[in-house]
Amino acid sequence: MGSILQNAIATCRFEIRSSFTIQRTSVSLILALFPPTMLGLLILGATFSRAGISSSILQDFTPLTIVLIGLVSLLSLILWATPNVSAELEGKSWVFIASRPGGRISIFLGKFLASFSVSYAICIVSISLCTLLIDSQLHTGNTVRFWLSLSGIFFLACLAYGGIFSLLGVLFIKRAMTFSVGFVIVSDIIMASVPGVLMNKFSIRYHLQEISLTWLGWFLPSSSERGYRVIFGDGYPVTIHICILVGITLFTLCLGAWAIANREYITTYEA
Amino acid sequence: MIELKNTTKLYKDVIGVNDICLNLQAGTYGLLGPNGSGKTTLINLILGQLKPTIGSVTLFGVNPWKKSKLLRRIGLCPSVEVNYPRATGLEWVTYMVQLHGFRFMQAQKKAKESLDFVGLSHAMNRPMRNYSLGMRQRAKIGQAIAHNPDLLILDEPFNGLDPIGRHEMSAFLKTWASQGKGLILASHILHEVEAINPSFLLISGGRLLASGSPTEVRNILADTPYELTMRTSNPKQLATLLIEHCDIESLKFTSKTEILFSTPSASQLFKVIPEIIQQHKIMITEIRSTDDSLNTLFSMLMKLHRGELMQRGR
Repeated sequence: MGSILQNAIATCRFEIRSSFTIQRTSVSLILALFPPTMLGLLILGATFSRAGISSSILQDFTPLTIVLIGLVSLLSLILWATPNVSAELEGKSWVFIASRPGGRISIFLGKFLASFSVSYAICIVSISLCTLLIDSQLHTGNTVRFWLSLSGIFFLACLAYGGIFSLLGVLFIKRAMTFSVGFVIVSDIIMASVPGVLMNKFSIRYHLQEISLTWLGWFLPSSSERGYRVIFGDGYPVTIHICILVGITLFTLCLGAWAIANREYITTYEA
Repeated sequence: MIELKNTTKLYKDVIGVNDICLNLQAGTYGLLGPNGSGKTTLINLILGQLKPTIGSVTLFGVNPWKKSKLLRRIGLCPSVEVNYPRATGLEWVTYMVQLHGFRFMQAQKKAKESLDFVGLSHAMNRPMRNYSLGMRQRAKIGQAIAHNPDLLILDEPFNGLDPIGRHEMSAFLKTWASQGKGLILASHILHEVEAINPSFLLISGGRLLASGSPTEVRNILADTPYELTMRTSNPKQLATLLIEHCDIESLKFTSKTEILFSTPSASQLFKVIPEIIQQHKIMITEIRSTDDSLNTLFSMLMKLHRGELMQRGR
């Protein structure tokens, strides 16, 4: 187990160092700056509007900011986590890794760690800039708490989605990105929005929403939570939601590691 | 060391290898076959990367499929290019050694030693995008031998090497073989493999067509239909003499000084040529084989295998 983790960390370090090209750095930077830029433009627009900027308007912008950071983190995870096997097969480096003991599992876990690290770093930059922007207008005095809450939520989000996208990368080599986008649409947009009491609880978004309401509820407009409870019912204690998300991550990682170790990947058609 | 029993690998309806039976003791082996003959599939089966559709594979007495710990005893240098342009040779080889279960410091030490062994220590801190093809080939060898394996498998190791690089590679492989460790050398060019003096395994169309010592393979090769071009001062007289003394299948005057001809028995031809030169004082300035690959040999072996051709001396 120690050796697997050691190899996974080595893979993560090598992956980040060798694949962080100017293009990838630029893409990551654009992703990190997109939510604060949008928020800044909204604040600017509201400032020059007839009503002017107010705390209630700013509170309405907060959920939108969270959605934007969510989108950015999902996009980053899809770009980094899903090509875990296909990139190696296409780049022809798979054969070097697969001919090492535990190389397959190392590449799976290492690439998961790399995708998580990069995506979470993007989230942290985004969250920090958005928090500074909101605080500069609202002066709530809760800046640190707001930053910590969002950082915690996106930490769990990057873990859970990273695990799922990594698993999809192992299972569907050729269309991993398509399947990942499909998963988000079906599970977290369609399924999670159905006002049932059971079905939406299987989505990642449901658990993240519940944690958000507990940690950020004081910051959101009160009407949002009332409406939410009418539709989705009462949630569990926040620790249960955290355990479910961590459990989903561990389950997907174990399943992915098992699949990559036991699957036959064809690197060449000889005949 | 390696045992294959009636091993067949199918990729859906395409045959990768077809009913191969092998029992290889520790030693040096040259796996020869044209491109697409099944060499890489065979190597992947031996490494446990592919599961045989029919039959079984045993490596060091164990079925290698899903036995990744067995890979600790093997060094693989595949034919594919290294695709980490930003990483330095040392970073890449260190990472490759780490995946064998070594800690970073230990892995880096082994990587430095192996890169020094393959003569790349002067460039090990340069990004691999600045490496020549020969340097990348050396880095690939370096990653294969760094963990001191019992069996080294090299797939087309001479690809892209210049004559000096080829000579150095041959010298390295001879040194490796002299240590008594296992070596499998897959190639589609006979004379490159011949320099290491291995036992040969000839594979084509996914089938093991022949195996044996270099002498045995030379005997097969000597009876292979052969196409030659000769440059001479008197092509008409040479053609007449060749037809008289040899079994010539076809003959063509390609220029005023050149003849192109094919013979079913190269051994007979090479015996006759010195006699013709000596007795008739004909000057032959060049003898060139038009086909320096093994394709002719393999097509003949395939015919033998199918029973379309009877081997001479049988």
